Amino acid sequence: MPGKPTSPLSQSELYEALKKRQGWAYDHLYAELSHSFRYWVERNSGSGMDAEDAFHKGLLNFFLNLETGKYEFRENAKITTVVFDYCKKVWLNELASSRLKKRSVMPDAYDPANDVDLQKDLERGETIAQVRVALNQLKDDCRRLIELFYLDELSLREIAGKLGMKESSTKQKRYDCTEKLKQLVLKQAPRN
Amino acid sequence: MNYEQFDRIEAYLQDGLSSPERISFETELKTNTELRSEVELQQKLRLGLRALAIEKQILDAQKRTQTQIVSKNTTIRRLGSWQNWGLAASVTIMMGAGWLVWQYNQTSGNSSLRGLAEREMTDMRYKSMPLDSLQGITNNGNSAEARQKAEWYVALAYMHKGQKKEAKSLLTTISNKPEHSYQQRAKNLLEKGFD
Repeated sequence: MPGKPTSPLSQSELYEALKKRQGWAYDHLYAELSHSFRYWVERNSGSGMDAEDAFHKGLLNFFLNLETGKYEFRENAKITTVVFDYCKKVWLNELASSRLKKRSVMPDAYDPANDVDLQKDLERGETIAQVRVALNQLKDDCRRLIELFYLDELSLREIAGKLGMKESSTKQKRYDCTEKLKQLVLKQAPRN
Repeated sequence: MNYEQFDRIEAYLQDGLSSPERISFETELKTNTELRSEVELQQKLRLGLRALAIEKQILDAQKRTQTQIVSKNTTIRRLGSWQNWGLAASVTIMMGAGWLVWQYNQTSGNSSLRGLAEREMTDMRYKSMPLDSLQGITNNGNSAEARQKAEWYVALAYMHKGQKKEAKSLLTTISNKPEHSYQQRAKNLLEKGFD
């Protein structure tokens, strides 16, 4: 995997690296923004924990939109500014929620409830929670295989090597485990 | 659904079908409701799994960034050369580095507690309730089931906020009640998330 360029980083280089899910690009965003965002949240009725939570949610929204093409890159828009804005909106939405309404005064003339894009991004949280729960309900061997394939993005050959299985059996097992995961997600759907 | 159908849907979602295959698949999608709901479900699974992968990458980036801060501070300590100030500076920097390590441990401990709580918070209605409302239900809920569920979510809310002591105390109470619907889950959390 190519490392971080040694020359000053251009916006398009950062964008391409983020699209390719390169670790250094994630680190770059994290290092550039986490402190300034924490500072901003702490000055807007939040704690350090609130800041971390909103920061991670904002990053997740941004990365999912980047990968699905919902975020459109523009060379003249700094990616760090865009991401800061994603995180900021998550925190403003938290502030506007009933949980925190009495604790604060909204810092901006911005109503998160009317931000359709933000609300759509946040709605994905329910799906994510269902998949997370279902994954944790899988038996260990299935969960491990699913995590290696979908979370760590290893190939079936690499997984076969790690688990001491034949590649063809790994392929079949991946199908079986994904089916089980699907059934577990379906079981939860009516509850939520 | 059989393996071939699974493979075909996956190829469609990954943009891996040839143009004629895609056209044929999309034509079938218009009339085959079973196929359509299967595609929607696979899309949902893929979104959830991709989000979990991203969350993992974000936590990795957080760890690496915090480790770098600690290591930079340690390097500064090693470079200190002024005789008179050396000792005092070293002590200060070591305390600073120690504090950062402590902060890092605290933060990662809290992150892991929060992660565990998030996994258990599957009911969005309870998850979004303010803590004082949940506490109200634990006393005044209509049924034992509602009261127990609210109590469980209060414990999860404490974990989510990093209030380890309060969370541990409430989880211990729940785990000691055989009639409590969340007894086993409380025990599991105590084993996983608390020393």
